[in-house]
Amino acid sequence: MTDLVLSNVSRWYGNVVAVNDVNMHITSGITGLLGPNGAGKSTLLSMMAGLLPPSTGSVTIGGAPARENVAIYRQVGLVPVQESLYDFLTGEQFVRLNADLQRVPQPATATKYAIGLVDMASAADRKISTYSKGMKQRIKVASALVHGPHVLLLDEPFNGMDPIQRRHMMGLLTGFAERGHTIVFSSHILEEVEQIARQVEVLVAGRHAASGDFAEIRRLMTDRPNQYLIRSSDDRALATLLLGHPSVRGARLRGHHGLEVEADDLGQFAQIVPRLAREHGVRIFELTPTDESLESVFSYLVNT
Amino acid sequence: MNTPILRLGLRSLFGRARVWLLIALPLVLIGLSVLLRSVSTGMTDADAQSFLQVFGIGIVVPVVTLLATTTLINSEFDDGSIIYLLTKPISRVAIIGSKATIVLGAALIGGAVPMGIAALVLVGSGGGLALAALVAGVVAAAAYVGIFIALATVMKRSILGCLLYWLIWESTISSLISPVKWLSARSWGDSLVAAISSIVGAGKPPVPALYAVLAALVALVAGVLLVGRRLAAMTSSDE
Repeated sequence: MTDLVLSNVSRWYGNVVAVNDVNMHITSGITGLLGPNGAGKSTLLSMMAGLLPPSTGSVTIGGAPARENVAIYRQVGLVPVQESLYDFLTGEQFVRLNADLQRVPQPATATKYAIGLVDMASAADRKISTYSKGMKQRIKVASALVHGPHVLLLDEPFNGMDPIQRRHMMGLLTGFAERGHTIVFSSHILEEVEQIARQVEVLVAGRHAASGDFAEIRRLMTDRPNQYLIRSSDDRALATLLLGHPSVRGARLRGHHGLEVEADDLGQFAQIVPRLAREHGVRIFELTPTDESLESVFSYLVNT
Repeated sequence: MNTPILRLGLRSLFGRARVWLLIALPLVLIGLSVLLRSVSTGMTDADAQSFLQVFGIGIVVPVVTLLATTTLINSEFDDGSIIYLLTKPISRVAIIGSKATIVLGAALIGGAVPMGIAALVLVGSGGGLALAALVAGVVAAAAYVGIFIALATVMKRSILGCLLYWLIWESTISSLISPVKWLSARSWGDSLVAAISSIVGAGKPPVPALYAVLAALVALVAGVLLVGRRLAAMTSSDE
């Protein structure tokens, strides 16, 4: 068993709490670690990888402590967020270095196989310093896969990838998960996470804000009061009409410049606004969601 | 010791343009020796010996060691690439021991051997100065490797810290305050030059040769063990 278990894990730097009392039990399959920048995702991954000691609590992989236990790395592959590699090496030399360091039985074959997995065979003989961001990302993944680890930890793996590379990487991780491996990756993009993650753990400001499959998380994130700014030919009339509808919680005139509306149900609201406007001859000039930023979505989750 | 890390260290130091930085100083040392030999008429063997002590032990060996330490330790911590070594089933002491071995090798090739060559250029094989310079270079290099890797790790990977140590402790205080000679890599090197060469009138060794060798060994081993322990507690995403 290679379950990744975090029990009451906290980590602080001086007075700053980066991770606050997190409990997780991660099993095989893909788990997405979702949260805005600075939420403590990297800190948490570093602790999972045994690089960083938790201030309190414990991290175990397959029952063995992750910390001060270098033997654990035979089962773990880490793709760090840093872009720095030994970039005076070629891609092939770098992956081979990782294979040699892991004492893989047939390093040359394993290297070739890992490079093939990430589709980098054609660029393997070039120096890493000439690689694009996405290529560096892929060669990093190859280096973490070369010893066939049970647990793969990836910190922001889709950063800097174009859509085709992203899809390829997602396919790779999904295939890996189907073969029973445990994969944890961090991201601040909900769409990325829900495309491949079976399980989603949301981290906001160091706290474990939500946990569940992506449908649950998606519902939590969309079924919340949404705010919009509407500019129309007759704001006052539109406000009256909208308030008559149960999905609208409130409407407030903002001087002469527009109408602030808070609505519960995104789907219904999207239908009634154009219908009511057309029926009553009100022209809509602009409709903008005002709190769509990820931070506000996350802060909503934290407050529930 | 770990072969892949040794190989990586060799590539990192000698496979890149910065190898010229490592080569420059020893070339200056040998070049200056050729110049002194051909221009200066009144130079005695004792003068040659003190030139090797001041310029070789005092400057070339520590600077070459510092350059190699910076490349293999400081910069890998700063850019985070060391994480690829730390997430492998290899003991921390083996990681740092392998790196220290390469740094020591660089210090021998770029410091100790050029000192021997410079001595040959200056006085030929007379007075055993070439052997003295070579051995002293090796001992000073070993001590500097231990001290610099320890300083580089303890002082937040600061190159400035290493430089200040070298300028203030080794180059200034150790010549002003006599007891410091017992704790100075430079005086250990000086002692070996003086102890092995048989040139008359070149001054006595500051500390006994056996003590100097042992002290340098202790500095090297203690440095590796200290950094190995530090690595065990290393955090990678602190910054």
